[in-house]
Amino acid sequence: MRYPSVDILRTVAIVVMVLVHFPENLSNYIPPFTGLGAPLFTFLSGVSYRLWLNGQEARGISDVEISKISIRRGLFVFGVGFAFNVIIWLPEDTFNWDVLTFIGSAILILNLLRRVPISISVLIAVVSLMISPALRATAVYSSYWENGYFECDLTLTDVIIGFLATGYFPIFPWITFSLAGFITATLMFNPDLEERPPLWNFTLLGSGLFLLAMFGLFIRQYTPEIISTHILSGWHMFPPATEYILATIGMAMFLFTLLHQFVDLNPKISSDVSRFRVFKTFSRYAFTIYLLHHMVHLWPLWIYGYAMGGETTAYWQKAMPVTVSIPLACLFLFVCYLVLKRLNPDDRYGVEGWMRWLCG
Amino acid sequence: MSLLKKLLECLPEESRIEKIKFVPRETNCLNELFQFPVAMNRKAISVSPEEIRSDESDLTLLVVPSSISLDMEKVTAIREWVEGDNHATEPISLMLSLQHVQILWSPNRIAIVAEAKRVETVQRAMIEASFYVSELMNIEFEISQRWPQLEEDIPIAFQYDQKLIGKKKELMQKFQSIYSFRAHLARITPFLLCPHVYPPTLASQVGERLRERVRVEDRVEFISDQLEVYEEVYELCSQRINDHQHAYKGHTLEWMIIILLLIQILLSVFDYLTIAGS
Repeated sequence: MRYPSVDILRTVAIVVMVLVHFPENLSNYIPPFTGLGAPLFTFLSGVSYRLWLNGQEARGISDVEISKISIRRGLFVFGVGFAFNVIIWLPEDTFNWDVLTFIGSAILILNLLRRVPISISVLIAVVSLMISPALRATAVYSSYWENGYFECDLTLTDVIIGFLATGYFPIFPWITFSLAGFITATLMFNPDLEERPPLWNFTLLGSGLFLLAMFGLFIRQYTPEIISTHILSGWHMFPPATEYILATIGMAMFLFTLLHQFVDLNPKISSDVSRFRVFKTFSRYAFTIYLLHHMVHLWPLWIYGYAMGGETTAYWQKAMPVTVSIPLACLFLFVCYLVLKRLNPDDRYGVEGWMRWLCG
Repeated sequence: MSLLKKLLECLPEESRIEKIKFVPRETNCLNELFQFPVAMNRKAISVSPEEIRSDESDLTLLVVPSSISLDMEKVTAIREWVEGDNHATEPISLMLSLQHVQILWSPNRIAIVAEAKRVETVQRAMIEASFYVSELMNIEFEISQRWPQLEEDIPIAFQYDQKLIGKKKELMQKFQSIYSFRAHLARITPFLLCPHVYPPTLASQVGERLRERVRVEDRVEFISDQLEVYEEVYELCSQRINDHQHAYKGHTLEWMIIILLLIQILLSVFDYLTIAGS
């Protein structure tokens, strides 16, 4: 079943990412809403996986078959993530552990966790959040980051450390986002209606997490240095601070449950398909748009830099003023919508279509 | 003109229709016809045809006070009314005839043709016997409707897992309803299989004859056998559900220990990696 709430939030996530990446990579401008798209995107990966699982189980697909499809899909996204790093960010950034390699890994992990009690997923989510500062401190996180960007040696140890703790989207703590989405959807869409907690519980929990994060931000200045350095380290995405994680999970949970309550469960609104055409289009091709928007704004930079005889990355972050890059992002989204809405969802256009064809 | 009005016109003038409802014993009413034993917690009351729709009454009686047997034409007309057009469980009527009393019976409609002084006795006997037979038929009907569901549930008696969690409440309700049928059958069986009264009376003979004609003894045995099958399946299902819940809780604890061990391993490996890297 397709829920408009998921479509709306995924559209918000992809639009935020496009509107952040264009000015950041073309004009070295960081918009104020930077850091809100990826948490939403990873939270929704957990929600979508649970909804997909429910659909497969309702259709009577066997457990083994679900595992096979999940593993194939996880590896596909993981592989596309590597291809993306090589082709878009050039081969020296192969192991930068971007969001796609993370989502591929998350699918593989969620496939393992779908069979264990939900309380174990909660435990792992909490543990992931708690041990991440320790892992980063052990690895000396700052030694992997130069000028605000991840750099690692091509050695096995650095690659594994990057994957686990120091890359752009390492397993710890980003798996907490996918698990939070997976747990929320598992409880919200429990086939046993009696066992479903009331929706407002999640809304309250989301609000509670957000307030807890704000409280963490407030008290960090009064805490000992070891806590303010490693645990309550402020508001930043790289590395994801505890306050940032709690606030963004709270925000995602709050928005998702609120939209589910007032949009999905409201027959007057949800039955009007035309209202959600834009969201459905963006949501259905979110993966493709993510790849495409990088190609559209980075490849011309590399080609132009190469053609001008300098480094390929010579014009990165200094190609144009922000007054041009943001309208370009908007234009990209508009053209994307015009093109994608003409596609038949059953045709195998876009990375999502290839994934369904290849992985089932 | 309705079939009943036509029928009443061709019958003796004193003929009357009586609509009967079975209500809990504690219900206050004046027009009580028969009180069932405490175990049944029911009594039969007469309701006027004006205050109730025909499909709302539990039993409709056509009482024809007549000292002579009716002719074939009238009997056929009465039979048509008794059989009606809405008998899901027992479409065929029975005719009982003893001691100059003629009775046409179906689960919802009964016609009694008897001398005026015997009418009340026969009426009470028929209300009592009909009530028990109807209850038995209701159980038969409910059970017969549930065979496809039972066949669907048989695999769960062998294996129950997390995917079937949504069926837990449904299975519990089925388990409860089967046991409530069993309890109900146990309550009515002593009255259905009661021994013949000696010396026999008209009332006892009417009840015994009806029970014989509807083969009560066999039917109680068959329905008991069928209920046993249901009970076995749903008992196994409930056992599987309980086992699963018990195992699920146990697994949670085991998984927690595994996760803590994995964290320990992860920290050790990570520590080793950072040392090796530097």
